[in-house]
Amino acid sequence: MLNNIIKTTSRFIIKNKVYSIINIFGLAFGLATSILIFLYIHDELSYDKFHKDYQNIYRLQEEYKYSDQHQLWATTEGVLGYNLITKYSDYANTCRILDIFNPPSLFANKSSASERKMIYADSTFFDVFSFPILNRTEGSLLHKSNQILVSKRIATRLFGSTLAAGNKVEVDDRTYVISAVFDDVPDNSHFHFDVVFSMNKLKEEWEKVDSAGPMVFYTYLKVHDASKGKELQAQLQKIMDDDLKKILIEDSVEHKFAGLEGKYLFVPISDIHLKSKAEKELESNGNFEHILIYLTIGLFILILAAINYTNLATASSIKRAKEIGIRKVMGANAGNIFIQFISESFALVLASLLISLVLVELSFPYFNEFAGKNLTLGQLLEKESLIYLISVVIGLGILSGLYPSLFMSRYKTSQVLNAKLQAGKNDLLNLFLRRILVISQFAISIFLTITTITVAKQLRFIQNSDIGFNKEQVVVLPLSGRNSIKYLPELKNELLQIPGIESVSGTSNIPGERFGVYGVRMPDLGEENDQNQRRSDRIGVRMLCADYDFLNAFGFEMIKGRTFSIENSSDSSEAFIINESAVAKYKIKDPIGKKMIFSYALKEPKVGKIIGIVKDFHYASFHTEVDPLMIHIFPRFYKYIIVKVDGENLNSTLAKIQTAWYHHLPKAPFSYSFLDKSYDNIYTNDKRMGNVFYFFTFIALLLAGMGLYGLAAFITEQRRAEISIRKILGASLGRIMLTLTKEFTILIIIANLIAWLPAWYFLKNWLNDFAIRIELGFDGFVLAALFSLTIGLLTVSLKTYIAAKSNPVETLKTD
Amino acid sequence: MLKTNGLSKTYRNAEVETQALQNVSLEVKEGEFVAIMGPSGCGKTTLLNIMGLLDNPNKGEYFFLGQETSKFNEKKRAQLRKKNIGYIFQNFNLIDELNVYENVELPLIYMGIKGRERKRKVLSALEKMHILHRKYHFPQQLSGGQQQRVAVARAVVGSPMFILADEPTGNLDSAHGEEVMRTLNDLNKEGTTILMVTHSQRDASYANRIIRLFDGQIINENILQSFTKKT
Repeated sequence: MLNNIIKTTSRFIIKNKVYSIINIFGLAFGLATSILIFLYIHDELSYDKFHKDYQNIYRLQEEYKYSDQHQLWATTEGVLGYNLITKYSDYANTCRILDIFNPPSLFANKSSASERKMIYADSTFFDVFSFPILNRTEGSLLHKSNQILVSKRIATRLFGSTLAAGNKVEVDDRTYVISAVFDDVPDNSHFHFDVVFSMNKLKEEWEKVDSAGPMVFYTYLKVHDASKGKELQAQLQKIMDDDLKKILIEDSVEHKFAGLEGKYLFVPISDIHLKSKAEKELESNGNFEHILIYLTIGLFILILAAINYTNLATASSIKRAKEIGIRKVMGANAGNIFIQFISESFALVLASLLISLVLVELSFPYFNEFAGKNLTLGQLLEKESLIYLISVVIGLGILSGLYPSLFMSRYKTSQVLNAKLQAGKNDLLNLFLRRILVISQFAISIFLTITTITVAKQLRFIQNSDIGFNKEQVVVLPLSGRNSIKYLPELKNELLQIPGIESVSGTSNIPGERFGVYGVRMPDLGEENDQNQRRSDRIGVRMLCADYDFLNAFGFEMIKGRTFSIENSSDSSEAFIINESAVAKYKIKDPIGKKMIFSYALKEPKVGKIIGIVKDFHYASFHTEVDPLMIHIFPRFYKYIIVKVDGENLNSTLAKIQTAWYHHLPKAPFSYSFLDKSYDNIYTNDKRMGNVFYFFTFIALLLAGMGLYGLAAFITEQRRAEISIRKILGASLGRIMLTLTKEFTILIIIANLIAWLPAWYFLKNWLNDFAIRIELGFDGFVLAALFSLTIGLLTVSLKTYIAAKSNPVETLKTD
Repeated sequence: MLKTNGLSKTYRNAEVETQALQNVSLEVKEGEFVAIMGPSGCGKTTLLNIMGLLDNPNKGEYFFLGQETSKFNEKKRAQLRKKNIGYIFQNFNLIDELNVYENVELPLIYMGIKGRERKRKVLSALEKMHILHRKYHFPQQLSGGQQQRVAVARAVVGSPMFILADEPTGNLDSAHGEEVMRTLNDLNKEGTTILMVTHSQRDASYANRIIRLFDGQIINENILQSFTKKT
């Protein structure tokens, strides 16, 4: 029996090539897309799950709310982690991490290695995390201040092998012993690093590591079990509540912290990548909403493909009706017929799956690039992936095969064989259902089209908007370690001699990067009366440390006051510039000349005055409004040299820059990037989403077109006799096509109406995520409508043209 | 063996009601060759469909091998059909995607007959119909006469007690038509009961008995050959 079914099916497939290709490739496209989305989501959801007992690992965070402020930071003060390590080890193992702001280079064996990611960590590092150790020395790993851990990548670069434990490396003129080599941090970790220094080394330089101070430590804890975790959280919360009460009592006169509330958050490590949106994240995270969007689209595409199959299979069933009738006369019952067609649908799904795997493999290079992943087909052999594939095949097989199988198994034998089946003539429900299928397909495609048009428009708007400074022709040279800063003035002087270089400046950050938030004091603010309430004299601002030339080089516009000037020697030690937003947010009256005190990580606070107000510029993405910013000259924090070039003979200029670099910093590796490129990276996620939408819209339209073709085929087949009679009675080709396409036009218009509201709602929300955005106009909607009508009518016309052109005598004879 | 008692069948469209059969009572005995004749639309095919267990009447009784089947559902009818009836159609109704051998094999598959036995039966049926040399050909590669021989082979391969033929020569030229009729005649002589719908007086002349239908009613019966004599 099976043999017989396989024969009939395969021969039918081969005989009806167009139908089969549409069907198999439609399903294959749908499957390939869903597999890519699955792999992407699977990878996004796998973050940090490689740690042993990852369910028990949390990042400790504090959340505060008062007046109109909301503070949620990824970091805490050092004292919190210290207390946990020393007093709460019965509940959890704790480890603090500090991200090294300006990572130095490592030297050993006459080679150097410079990695942008280095951290300090407590000696409890491996009690919390389980990054695999490949080679280690006896005893503790991070207890001594001269102990250092390096990644496989670094060990191989410096020593040619991972067996590097016990070797010495030189960093910033100090010698360290490699106590262990760990495997490279996997891509699916929410933070990456190649070198780990001991927290004890930091303690030698900065005595505040274990006491109250700046919120710069990432505090991770691994609770012994869930109940211990809950107990610990409750205990910590109680301490915090008591502290907050005291603050509120002290504040009862001044009301600086009206309504102050605080919470300790235990953020599961596996949630950080997708769900955490705290300030000062270690790396830019994924986006859970995007995952949900991709998931929905993946499902849409699968449904589209299944609808196509159903549509085409039932449409082609007229052709199979005779076979079904004969089988029934020969003794097949409805069950046999059902099994035959459901097996056929499974066979087609399996065939499509094979093709889709080829498609997936072929699309990996492109997909990985725009998704920023390293996905491989091998990942499909993992347990979850296999479960997914099997369930998709079963789901798709049933979803697409069920209706046609039921539909066909119910054909009446006598009708099929003798009365010549006129498909769906007596089956209004069937035709109605098919119309619903086409409307849903088009509604999904139109939704995606509108979204694509709008996303593209917003992205273009971002690209072309005035960001308030000139990011073109700016070369960024990353400095490595403190030693580089020492030689900066000499290097700068030499660079300025090179023709084609307009200006050179050290800077702590480049636009597009996260600018750190710091507290500064403005004593005048505390004294100013604002509605008879005293205000805090502390303000939170993002900070940019930069040289004299920085503001000129970028073409920033000063609104009031002046910029830094080399002629004013005091500018390097007592001048601050703030932006418009800072003035507005903190309601600073007559800011020029106001006193400002910066004391972060300084023995003696830096006391100075505001000398100028810079016009707001977009140093962060358009997702946020421009935050208050403070700029001052502070070489200790310099992380880059910014070189403004005139753009002529760029290669020669770069070569000269390199020569000058090695002249002054022979040991520091030279690398460069262009600011405009790195600035654009802040929209990577948005562009990625845009790309995903472009791609999916294309697939959806393709599938919807195929579906429509299927319906058109069905309806023209059904109306063949009618067309012939109309022709015999004198109808023109155009007239016949008009009659036939009218119905489809109506279906597509209905689909448009259905798609508009969800699209409007979705886009309104998406655009709300941008502080600076386009208006959601009608143009995208109208364009999508025109587009869908064009595609739809072209597809239908193709089929109806063939039908309308056919010789009526032939048609009527065979009918 | 086959007996109808007051059979009626009405087809209903939205507004039109067509009475295809009215109060038809007849009996077919074992070994008979009965022809049903009448003008187009007189209800011949409807009667054949009901007697072939492809359809149910609206009214009346139908005894098939002694069982009253007029209320049988499709599943029960299919059970009886596949064991006892072979069908031959005017337009052959072969499955285009299956070759000659596979088409003939089809009823045996649904009867659940094992592979080796199936092969023996199929080859024997094809040989009997002189079409064995064409067993790997597909229907569209055969002439009408050959196709109908395949259809006959398919009808007899399961050794049914009855063969129902719906205008078996309607799509054939006279020579091929003659050939098919002789085959049916031979089958009848071997003991198979045949019920045939036809327009052709010549085809009908092969039958023992002709039943004439007009507007869904039997108008007369002609006994052409003495059935009793023959048996």
